[in-house]
Amino acid sequence: MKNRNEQAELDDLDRELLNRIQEEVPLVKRPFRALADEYGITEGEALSRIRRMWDLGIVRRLGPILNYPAWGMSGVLVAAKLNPDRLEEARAAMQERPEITHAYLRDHDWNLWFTVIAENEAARDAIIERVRERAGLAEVRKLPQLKSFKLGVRFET
Amino acid sequence: MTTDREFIDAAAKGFQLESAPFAALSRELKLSEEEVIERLRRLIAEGKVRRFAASVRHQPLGYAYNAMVIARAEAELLDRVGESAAALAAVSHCYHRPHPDGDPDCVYIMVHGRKSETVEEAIETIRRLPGVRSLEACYSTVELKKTSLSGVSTDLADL
Repeated sequence: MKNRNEQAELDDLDRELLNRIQEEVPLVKRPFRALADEYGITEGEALSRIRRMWDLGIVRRLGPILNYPAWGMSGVLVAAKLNPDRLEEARAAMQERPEITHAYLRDHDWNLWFTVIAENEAARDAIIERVRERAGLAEVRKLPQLKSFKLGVRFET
Repeated sequence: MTTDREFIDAAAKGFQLESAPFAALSRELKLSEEEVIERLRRLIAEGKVRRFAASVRHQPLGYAYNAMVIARAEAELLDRVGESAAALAAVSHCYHRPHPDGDPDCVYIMVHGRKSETVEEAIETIRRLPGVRSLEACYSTVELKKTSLSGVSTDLADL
């Protein structure tokens, strides 16, 4: 029986399509026909290859990637020190706010890392403060991105 | 008249994989498909949308080993450290952020591999880059949450 990783194997064309569509999907009425034309395949084949990657969970969304500050929204990465005894309270605090999008425990002195994106800076900070109280976080630091050198994954073909 | 905000709230829910993906939103907002496409193009031109694209998860491809590396850099070499780390194939995201302890000159580097050796090799390469003062490699132990806000892609690097 094949394991999950083997099932998720992609061929070179899949990887080229994946690299292409995470950079840009053409803004035309039939974007997959436009993509198919670039690779000399049919629209149906382009769609079925991308649909397979969607079903495998590799492609998870198709849509606009927003520049949040341009909409007045405010997002930030936060590092904090969580007492491991209060993990469940931290988890509950994360779950109750949709504005908290990712949260991880890491093996570091700063063991709790999460991202918040909210309607504005005040709302963002209120959410961080609420998590700090509920989970009893000893220390909390906002870590603004000062510069981006790379954004996204390229899959080797 | 649909405001940009109403438009983007609807568009941010995401599009279906179908041959005419803009048709559903055009029906919902009572705009033509051309108007939907034009609006997206304008929002990109205005910098309110970075791009129209697919969001990708790498774990299903077997990239099971992940580390967040925090490299403390000499201030004048920080950009070179960031650019060199970003050029590595195993690196997905790379950005300048302060350390939680207050050190402003850190490069955060997300490293992924299908094998632990790939991740370890990339970390050793980063450790030897000129300008790296010291390095911490943190592995995630527990994922507490991973979602998208209203379907909006919120990769760590976007924030």
